[in-house]
Amino acid sequence: MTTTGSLLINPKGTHFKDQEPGEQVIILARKHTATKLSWIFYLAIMLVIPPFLYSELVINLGMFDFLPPQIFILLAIIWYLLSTAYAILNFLHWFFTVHIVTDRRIVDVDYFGFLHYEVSEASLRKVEDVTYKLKGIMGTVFNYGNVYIQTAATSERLDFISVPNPERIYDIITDLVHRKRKNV
Amino acid sequence: MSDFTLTLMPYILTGTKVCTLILVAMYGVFAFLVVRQIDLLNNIVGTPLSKSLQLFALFHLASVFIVFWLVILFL
Repeated sequence: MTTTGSLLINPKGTHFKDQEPGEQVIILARKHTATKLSWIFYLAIMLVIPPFLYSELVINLGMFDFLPPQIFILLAIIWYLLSTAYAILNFLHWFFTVHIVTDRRIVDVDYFGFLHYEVSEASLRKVEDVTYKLKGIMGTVFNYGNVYIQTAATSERLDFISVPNPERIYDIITDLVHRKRKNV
Repeated sequence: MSDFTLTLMPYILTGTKVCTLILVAMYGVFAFLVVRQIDLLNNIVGTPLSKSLQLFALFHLASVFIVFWLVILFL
């Protein structure tokens, strides 16, 4: 799996803030790549709009042909800057919404939007219940779903939304929790 | 095209150019915030891609600066 994958098991080179010495990252999960399809589709349309409108309205229909060409270039620059901002915001949202499971705790980084993110954490000892859900055509075809982790910590529930192979994540977490409880 | 429109054309062009420059400058602020955001989030979660992402963000910020000056000089 590449470093940009959505589900990395025992990823190398991954670390997080406040990671304790000897603490190992077991899972690093992000939203499934298929969830990116919608904004990539919209982005593709946005990229095509300026040349399409120019060829149809200006060249074919002769509308606005009295305007100097610099104006069309300037408008295209504005449009492409907005498209780039849209792409960057969506990519950052996918890349930094990260769910980490170590051999000691679960760390959940939720990137809600630009300049707004939240970090939650729960020890494996405080995990009470783990469930996973896989639904819908896209989820079934691409094998992604949600994993819900009920805890006795301050953040009562940690949600892994649209993660790949939720069953495997569920198996790993329950296995880790059982091992932690045996070691108590 | 009417004489009135012809008369206004330089002002329309200058106005569009000024608006574009203002928007590019605002986008430059956004690009800077992206660099800071990536820096902060890389401190929270570090992956092998962290440095590449940081470099990309800096390159993106530099390109906004270049676009700004290209608009001033050539348009």
